[in-house]
Amino acid sequence: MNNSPLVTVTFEGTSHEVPQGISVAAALLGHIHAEYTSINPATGEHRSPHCLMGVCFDCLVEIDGRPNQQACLTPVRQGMVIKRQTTLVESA
Amino acid sequence: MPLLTSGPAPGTINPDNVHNIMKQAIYKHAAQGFAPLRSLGDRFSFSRKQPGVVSPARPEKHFTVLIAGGGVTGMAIGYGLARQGIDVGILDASSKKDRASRSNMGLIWCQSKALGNPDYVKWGFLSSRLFPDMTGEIEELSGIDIAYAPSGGIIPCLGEEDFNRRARYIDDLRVEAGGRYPGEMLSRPELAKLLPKITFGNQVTGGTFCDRDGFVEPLKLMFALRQAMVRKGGTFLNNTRVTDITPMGDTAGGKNSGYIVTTKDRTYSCDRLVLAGGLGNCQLAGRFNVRVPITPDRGQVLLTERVGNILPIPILGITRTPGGTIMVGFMHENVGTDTALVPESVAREALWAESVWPGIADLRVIRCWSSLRVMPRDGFPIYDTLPGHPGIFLVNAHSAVTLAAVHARILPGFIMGRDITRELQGINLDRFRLNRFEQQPR
Repeated sequence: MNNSPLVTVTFEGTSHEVPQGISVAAALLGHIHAEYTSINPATGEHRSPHCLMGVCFDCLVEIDGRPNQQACLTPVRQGMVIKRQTTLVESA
Repeated sequence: MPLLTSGPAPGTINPDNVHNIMKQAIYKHAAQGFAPLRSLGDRFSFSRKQPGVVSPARPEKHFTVLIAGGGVTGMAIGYGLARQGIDVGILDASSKKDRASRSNMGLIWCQSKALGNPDYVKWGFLSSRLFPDMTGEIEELSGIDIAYAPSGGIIPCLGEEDFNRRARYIDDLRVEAGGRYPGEMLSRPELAKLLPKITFGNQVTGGTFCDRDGFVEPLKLMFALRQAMVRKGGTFLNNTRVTDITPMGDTAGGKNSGYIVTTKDRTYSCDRLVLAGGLGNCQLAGRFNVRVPITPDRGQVLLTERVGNILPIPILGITRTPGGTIMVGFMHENVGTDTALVPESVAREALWAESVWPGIADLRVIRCWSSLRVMPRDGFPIYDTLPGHPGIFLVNAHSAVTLAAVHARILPGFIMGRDITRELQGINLDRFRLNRFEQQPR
């Protein structure tokens, strides 16, 4: 990965350079050290990517303004804006 | 030194030789006066095990009551028996495929069902009344929070006709119950007041509300009942698929002398046996020539992303789980044992959910699955002793969660000998009487 081209993404307003081609979850865990990436709407617990294969839905983040994106199934892109998913659906 | 004194030499087995050996054996048997063909099979190890013909191994443990089936129903009965100090063991096959608990919405649901069967209506409401007490007990014994919520429940009506039909049904139930019935029709504004955080669709004209309904986490309920049963001295015997049931003595004239139950690897004996194997009861009771009037009932379920507690009262067909996901499902498909997930069915459920609650369309679907449940032929539960076998008690119910509290508190009395045909006429085998006589061996 050391020689991979880098892309720049923004997480919670801060820019990070991460290897091109990795998943958002890998970037959050291994490069950005995000601590937590979402708050569970039912329990209020801090969550972060867990299964890394699209099953557990604990890695949901907001990407480029769209909520509920699975970080583990989304590759990073140049200029991507990632935010923690902390909003509770309080009515619908 | 000859290796073999008779039979084919090693390496010379061919169809002709086998045929000759068979012929010789038949001649030999003929000379002895024709022993049963079965013994010919035994001689050549072709015998297929026939229940009751081959005597079972010596039982390694005796129980007062054995229960075949460790789902929510078997566990509730097991807990109820253990609670009374009865020595009970639960046999569980751990079938991953057939667990009805997998497509269970966790609803405790009494209202607006079973018109024409007042015994069953009362049985359901009784379970709802016993639920808080049972919950307290098993949560304390097991340390497991089963997320019991006596929230009440809602059935939404789409359009005037649906509303009027539902209102008439509730009226009929009220008349049948002698004037008082715990369920009422609500107008659309009244419904909206109960669930202020969601917006109902334009077609919703109102619905029913019943405060006796509620919610529980079905898998936690099952595990809590199991733990509580073990704490009360019951025995859970994991990975013990029942392969045979044999009376221990004479059963002529309906005599009960106990049963030997053979499982995959072990053999047990009991004074009384409860068949609580869900769809598996067909095979278990079939051993005694009784065809259980139940069919597989396939459900299709979809699950959304987690949301805040915007649905504190379950809508029949749309429930928020304690984990925050919304579960949608209402299909009853009679398709045998096919467990296929049908996208068209799931889509129908999604469209219906959207017409009730348009906002749900914005939530992401994270999983869909299907599963087989149990459906008695007329929809009502079945509790009875097997014809000719007062020591074997049959239990089959579609609403295992709703009825868990009566299964734990009331049913043990009937299992231990109280006559169910006299007290609970609408929910024993007698209602299938014609069928019962057809199936019963003469």
